[in-house]
Amino acid sequence: MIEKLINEYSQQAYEFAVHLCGSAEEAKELMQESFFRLIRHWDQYDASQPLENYFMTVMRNLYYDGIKKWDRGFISLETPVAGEDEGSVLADALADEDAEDLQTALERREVSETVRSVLEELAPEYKAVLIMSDMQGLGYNEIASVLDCSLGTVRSRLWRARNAFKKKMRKHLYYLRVE
Amino acid sequence: MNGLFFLLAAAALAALEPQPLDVLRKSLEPSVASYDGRMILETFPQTGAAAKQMRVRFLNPGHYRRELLDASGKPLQIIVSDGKSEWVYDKTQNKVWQGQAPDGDYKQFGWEQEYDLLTANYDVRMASSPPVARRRAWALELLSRRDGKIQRRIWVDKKNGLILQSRIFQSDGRLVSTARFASIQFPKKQDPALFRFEPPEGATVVKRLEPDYLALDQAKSASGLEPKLPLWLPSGYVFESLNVLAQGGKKVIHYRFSDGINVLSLFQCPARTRLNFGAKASRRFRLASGPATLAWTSEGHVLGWSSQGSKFVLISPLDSSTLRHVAESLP
Amino acid sequence: MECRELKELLSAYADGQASSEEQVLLLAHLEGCPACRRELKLFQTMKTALRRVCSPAVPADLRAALLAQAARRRSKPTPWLKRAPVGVGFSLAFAAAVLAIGVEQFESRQADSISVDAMLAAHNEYALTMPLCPQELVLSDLSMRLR
Repeated sequence: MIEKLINEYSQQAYEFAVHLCGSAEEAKELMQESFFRLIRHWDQYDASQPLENYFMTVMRNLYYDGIKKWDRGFISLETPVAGEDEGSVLADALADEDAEDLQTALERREVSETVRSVLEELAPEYKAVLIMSDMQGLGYNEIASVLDCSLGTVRSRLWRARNAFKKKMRKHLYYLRVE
Repeated sequence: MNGLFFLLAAAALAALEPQPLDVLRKSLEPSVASYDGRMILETFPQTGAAAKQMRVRFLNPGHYRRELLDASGKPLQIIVSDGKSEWVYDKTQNKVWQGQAPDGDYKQFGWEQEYDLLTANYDVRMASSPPVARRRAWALELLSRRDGKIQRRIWVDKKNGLILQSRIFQSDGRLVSTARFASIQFPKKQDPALFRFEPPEGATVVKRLEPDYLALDQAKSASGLEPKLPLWLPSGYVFESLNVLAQGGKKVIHYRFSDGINVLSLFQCPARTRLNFGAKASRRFRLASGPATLAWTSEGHVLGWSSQGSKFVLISPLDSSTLRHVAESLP
Repeated sequence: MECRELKELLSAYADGQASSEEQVLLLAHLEGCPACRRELKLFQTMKTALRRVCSPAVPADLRAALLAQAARRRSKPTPWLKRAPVGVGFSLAFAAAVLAIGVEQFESRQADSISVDAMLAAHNEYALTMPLCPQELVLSDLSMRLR
């Protein structure tokens, strides 16, 4: 079973690791350490969860634990499915040239480096969902399985991740434009 | 012939001077200029207190070093960021708080939303201005649409959009505080070591928890409390996001309301908690719901009160009667 | 439906995860809202841009190392350590929170007492994210509150 994990799913897991850590070296370390943990605490694996998802869960937890740069104190973000009214709200109706800029910039092929730097700046929770959803093409169910949360949480976290990504990207583009 | 000339000249002049909203947008954009300057920070009225001085260095992107100086120019507190981590060092206590600088990119509100809110609540006008710190600047005035009174005056560097001076006014028109550059340079290079921080020998290092920006429907699951929001808010204020603080083993909800410039904070504490005002000068009175305490700090008024067993606190630069109105509108 | 409430739905729609009822609602709104149409397009472009970031292949030596590790496990049984998994999100945050607020700093002698200074610090931290915030002024207040 574990050999199957390595042979069939190590690519997916490795991609996840690389994008999370931002470097091949660290990704390698993360993979090995996570694998070690997986084996060591094998009794904690609940077979109702696909092994490849569980392995990614282990990796993600280890990544969070090991973050030396900063700690993000996100308290449990579990969202009930039915949203409540958020109070008075302003509609975004501004004709936004900045959004046009961002749209155009993202469509250019050479944007990968900027995208990578922006991803680096995101909080681990947001980084993880964006990697799984957009870079690895995992569906909400799989993501929910890895993160051990509800579908509603995945949805809301992805939206917040994209919101933050958009804002940071805008800043990066501004710096690039002027320099 | 003369008439046409003047018309053209006037048109040309008008074209040179930008629109106030354009200047505002320029000032809101992230700073690209790296700079090194000295700032003077004053809060009024402060009986007998001297203005604070700060040495400020900023290196693109996101690196800064701010030193609060004592009378002789030596640093009392140092705040350093390398773009990722922020350290706040207090020399007198030899204590360091380490965490991440508050990051507006995680707010529920987008940039456009905040800008819309600001322009909906404030009228932006251009005023003439002498140079600030020897730099040519536009002066912008932000007037509340509610009562036409001036709330902010900001001086924006004509070349790079940096805010060189800010004046903040109270709702009664009184000047509350000023922050300005006394001098500023734009060096081509700055030593990157200035933007790294190593805690000195024997310093206590405390981890600072980074705030979150949760939506209202996440309040209950994040705090275990039943959210209670005021039914009345001062005109122009909307709910933006909330955070849950852990204090002495208890969870406190911090609701943040904003009008685009100012913040109104409401804290909801669980039942059977005491509010510790510390040594602040305060006075006690009663609201319909129970006993209340009002204090004045540099952040504005602090109003604490009891309602149905829970304790609430409001923090805002608004006047005390407005805060009372908010407090009394809590169901 | 308000644009703001729809944003999350736009994101889900871009992922193909909106229910059929939600899709009907969304498409009706999009017809009359260019801002939301732009936002949807932006989300879709972001997804594509992220997808384009190339993913490297697993290095052969890593795969070999993992297989070797698996083989070793089968040959030499290790005592399974009974350890409760750390629920990262919540408990880590809670522990960090207690540490961060500096229990010895903000907790008064009396139990169940909550410090107004901590609230002022939180207020300042949020104020720093506001447009036109005089950062240095607020930071000088914040460092005073953190004491």
